[in-house]
Amino acid sequence: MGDIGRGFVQAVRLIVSLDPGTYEALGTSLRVTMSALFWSALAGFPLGILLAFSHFRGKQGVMNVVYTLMGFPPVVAGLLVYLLLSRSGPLGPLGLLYTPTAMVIAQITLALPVIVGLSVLGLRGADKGVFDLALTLGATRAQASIALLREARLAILGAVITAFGNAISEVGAAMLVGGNIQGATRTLTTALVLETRQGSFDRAIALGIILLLVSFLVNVVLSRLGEGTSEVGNVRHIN
Amino acid sequence: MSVTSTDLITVRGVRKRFGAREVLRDIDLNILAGSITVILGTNGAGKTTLLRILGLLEPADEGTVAYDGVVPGASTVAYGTSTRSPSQDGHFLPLRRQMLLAFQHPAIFSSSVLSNVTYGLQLRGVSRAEAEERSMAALRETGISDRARQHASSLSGGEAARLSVARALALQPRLLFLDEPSASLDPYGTKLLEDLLMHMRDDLGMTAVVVTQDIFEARRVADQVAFLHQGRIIEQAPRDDFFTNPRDEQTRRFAAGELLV
Repeated sequence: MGDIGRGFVQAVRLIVSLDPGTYEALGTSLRVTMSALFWSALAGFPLGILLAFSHFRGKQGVMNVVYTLMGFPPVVAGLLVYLLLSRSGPLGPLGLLYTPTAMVIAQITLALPVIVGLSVLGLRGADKGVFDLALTLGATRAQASIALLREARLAILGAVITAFGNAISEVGAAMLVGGNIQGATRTLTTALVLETRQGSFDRAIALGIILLLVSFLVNVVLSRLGEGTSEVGNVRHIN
Repeated sequence: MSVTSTDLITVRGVRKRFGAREVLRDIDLNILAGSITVILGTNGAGKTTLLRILGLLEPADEGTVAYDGVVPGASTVAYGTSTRSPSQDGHFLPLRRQMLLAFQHPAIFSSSVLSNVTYGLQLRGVSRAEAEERSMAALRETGISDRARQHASSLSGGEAARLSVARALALQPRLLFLDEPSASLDPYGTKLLEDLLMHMRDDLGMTAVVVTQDIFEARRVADQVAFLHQGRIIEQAPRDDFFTNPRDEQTRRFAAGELLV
């Protein structure tokens, strides 16, 4: 049996034996990525709406920057956050380097441009007539925006899934600003790098399989949420 | 044009430009309460822009539009350089909720046909059960009640136009604006639409403004006709006067189906 086969067996063993190290890394991965995703969505969707429907000088320039940042190499993002948070850096006194918070910040720099960029594309692609339709049916502009967001829900789901995938699978930034400290900042990806370096290929492959499995499960849940019902939008009664 | 007490909308000096292009130049127009006014004009005359301004979906650059007796008290929108779009101003929300504009290319929400109709009612605080009941009745009147539970994107162009009319029947606004309502309808659908339009005027007391380039449709449904040409109202008159005794030469030629230069 080769390394890959042994990896499968090992993966099953780590999962069913509730291996503490593995579950700790998994927990850190999920906590860090979900926080980064939450803050990125909170800031990213309003920014996306703003950019999709406003007109101002230099908008194309802003969009070009956003699209470029969508392909931001994680290790470069990690380096920038590292320099910001390191002891001599501008945010050094906060003492955030090598904490999960630092990793969340690094992942936000990766996830935010993806959320903004993909939601702009999705909202532009959604039928613009829907906004006017909601307005003439008596919606406020806020209510019309919600209706429009629901029209673009598949694109928005795509943005969340892509941002999640980017964030949970990156290793460069997590390594640089997290430091791969066992029980604190070790994630599935940084653990995987460590195991590979130490020649424990079966454990490394097992971690890879667990990472894929988690991604799959999260995507199933996100898709369920995104499909939604046949309602037009959450109508709030403002009279 | 005289201002009478029965004018529901009084338009004075409305101008609108898109960049360098002047779309509406100094529009004066009166819409009589309880009447159907047809705004006739060729492609690019500014009909849709004028309708969107009347329907408070788009601000004019200059001029005033007064809505009298639509909501308690008088509501006048005065446009100037610093005016916010009326759709951004909460003050005009009650007024906006007494009007409905049906677009030339019927817009639909990607949800069920039924919830496309109930949406406007629920915005007005109508309970879900009552909203669905009223919406189903409206869908029956427009002949698409069997599609109520289906996804609206499965509707044909003509059925989507009927959906627009169903929204109007369910919401019963004081003011209805229709942009080329029969453009995507077959003759049978057009007949149904025009019958419903007159039913809404006669039995529900609604006032309608219809934009079209079809002089035959204007002859069939209009109480008043206004002729819009190159961004100006050339003539506004009761239907029979408009067609039998036009004052303006361009109006006469348009009504006779001649080409305008």
